[in-house]
Amino acid sequence: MEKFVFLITLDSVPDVIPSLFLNEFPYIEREKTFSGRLKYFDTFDCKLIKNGIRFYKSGGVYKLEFSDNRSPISFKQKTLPTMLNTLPESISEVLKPLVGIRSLLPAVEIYFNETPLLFLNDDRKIVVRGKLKEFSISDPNEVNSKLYRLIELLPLRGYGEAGKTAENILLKNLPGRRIKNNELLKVFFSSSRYVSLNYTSKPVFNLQPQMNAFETVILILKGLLSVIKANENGIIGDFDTEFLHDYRVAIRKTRSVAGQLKKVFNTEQLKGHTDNLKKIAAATNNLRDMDVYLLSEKEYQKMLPPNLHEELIVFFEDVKKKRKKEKKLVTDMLLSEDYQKRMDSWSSFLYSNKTVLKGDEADSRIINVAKKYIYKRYQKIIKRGCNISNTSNDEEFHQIRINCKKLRYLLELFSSLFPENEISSAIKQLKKMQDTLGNFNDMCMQQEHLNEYLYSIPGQNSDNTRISAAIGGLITSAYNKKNDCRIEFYERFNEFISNNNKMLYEQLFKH
Amino acid sequence: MKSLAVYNLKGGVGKTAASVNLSYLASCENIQTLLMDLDPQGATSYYLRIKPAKQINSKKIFKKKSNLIDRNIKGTDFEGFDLLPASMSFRNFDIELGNMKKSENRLKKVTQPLRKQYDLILFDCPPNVTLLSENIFRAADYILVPLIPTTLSLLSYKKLIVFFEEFGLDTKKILPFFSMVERRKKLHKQIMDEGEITNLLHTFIPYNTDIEKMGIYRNPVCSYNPSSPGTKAFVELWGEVRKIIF
Repeated sequence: MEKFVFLITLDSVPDVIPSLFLNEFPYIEREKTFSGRLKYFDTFDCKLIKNGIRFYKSGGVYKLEFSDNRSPISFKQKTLPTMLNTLPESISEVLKPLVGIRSLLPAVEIYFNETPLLFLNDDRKIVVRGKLKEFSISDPNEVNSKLYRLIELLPLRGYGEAGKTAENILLKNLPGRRIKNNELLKVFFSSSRYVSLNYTSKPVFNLQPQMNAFETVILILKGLLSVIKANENGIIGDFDTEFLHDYRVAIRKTRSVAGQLKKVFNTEQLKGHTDNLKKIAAATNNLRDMDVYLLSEKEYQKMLPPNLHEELIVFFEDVKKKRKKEKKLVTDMLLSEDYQKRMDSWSSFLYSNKTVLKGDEADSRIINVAKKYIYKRYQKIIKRGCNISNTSNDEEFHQIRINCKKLRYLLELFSSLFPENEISSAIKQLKKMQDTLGNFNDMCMQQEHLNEYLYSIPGQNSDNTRISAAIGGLITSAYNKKNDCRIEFYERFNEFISNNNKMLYEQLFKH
Repeated sequence: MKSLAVYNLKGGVGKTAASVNLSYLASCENIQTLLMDLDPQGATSYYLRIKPAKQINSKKIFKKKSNLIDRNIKGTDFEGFDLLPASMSFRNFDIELGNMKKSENRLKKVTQPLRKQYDLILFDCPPNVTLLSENIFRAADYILVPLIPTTLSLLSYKKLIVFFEEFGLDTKKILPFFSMVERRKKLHKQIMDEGEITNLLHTFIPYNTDIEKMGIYRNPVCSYNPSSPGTKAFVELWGEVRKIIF
């Protein structure tokens, strides 16, 4: 049975509300009003509420409620939930598909008053359960506190008609409108300091083929700037590693688009800005490396025999110490005047179009520019890939990986210009090859860092020898995996240059 | 999903009071419960303030893919506790079942789809031995038999055992318990002390005016009088039954 939720647009709710129903329902019982606070939790990008899950704490009890038919779950714990491992296992299993490695943040705190109303028939049998509710985002006793009032109606099974009758009485007699179950909650969420309903790490641009290239690229860069800005607080607050990840990807995309489509702008004017972004991103490299290590702690353990696991703990303690130092450096940078100045300057470049000098391709149609650069990048990958052999060094693989990333960004940012099925098939094909190249790169980085670490282990005592043995084991494992990736790359590349994929690229992007 | 029938060949033994209170107690533990009032007298439905169902066509209710049961279920005043109210047309069940093939398993089949919605289904049965009773015995995992400790009541219990044996049904499913017990009555005490009944539950329900008042309050005694001796006995009985069936 669906709940009917009616938002009342009256400044005060008259006490006569129950009497509105007395013509149709012989008895209306008003139960005792109770009040409290609900503290909602969600990920930064509001994955829970967007997927119909409400996770809140009220009166010392945590509760999960679902929009589908699943029964609510309640549990108690003393500590605030942050990462999934801070919750009971049965709860984290339910949330895992949506939350992943994101943290749960205190999204919003809501004050409420609730008065249950019972609608009875002539046998004094309950036929509809009602609730008169008042919500406010701050203490309702404060002068400026805005109150939202609603009535919920839930007919009991087999009493749908009585439910309809009550709904009609509301619709006819009270100013207001029917709202969806989560609609009001979304209004509250939109005022949150910690979470963002509108945030997406991959903004979608609704582009039209005839749009002007200059204006379109500015639009895309503005979108990416808002992703960069949105993640700054989360990096400083160190809520989870996804803030830094999204931040870095948005900067990389910005540099990639600006660099590849440089003829849309005046190259000289643009260069100062992209160099700034390059420096900013580079300052976060070490912190990201430490994050990647810590995220794969369990996988590292699996690579080594159990008798060396303890030595690994020493290694990860070191990583945590280094991370702490790197985190401070990044925070200092984000809070520095110099950083603000560089970002403000990039922002004014994008928002005050008049001072921006245009390049040769500025007034072309965006579809032509997008096709040209996508196809060009595609050809470059093919050329580089064909030159790969058994004797190729890591750098040659690295270059193909960088080119694939550039192509991927163009495909994704300009995807709305092309037919949906075809563009997603091109992206899917490319992603497979990128995954292999990504793994290859991870292994290269691991080898390099672990080697550095190995040479930094001081002196010779039995403890250090064992730590060296553990690191040696990891280096060997990384080396073997890297070689597996090389073999896998040939398969992926052959798929990428297959006739089908070639035809797809020619049909979509060749002039 | 588990199913439980409350049955006695003899009427007036506290069958309906047991059905209503056990269903209520189960729902209090978040066990989604459906009580099916199969007795056309409709006492269960009356206790729960639910009007008898008018439109249940006894001919169609046992047909394959019939959704008549599902459509007629009503929510009681208690969350997680639903009722299929009785209908006068239920008195025709035996005639309709008699005209059907494989008639003894029809109830089991038509209640199959309800297994997804409920954790527990209780059948409140009419006091007779008919084709419908046989259907109930086959559909239910256990049969609770309230017995007043009197000679006649024991006789009806013995008849039930004979019926089960004749029709090849499992007598282990039968769970008798003493009901409407007046310990000060010599006969009650004597019969209860004899200990001849197999599978007898430890709990007994005393004769209690609070239980009788269910007809006035039209609610389970466990809900309107939590401290009544009747309530305490039903809570204990439910605890014993729950351990056996779940």
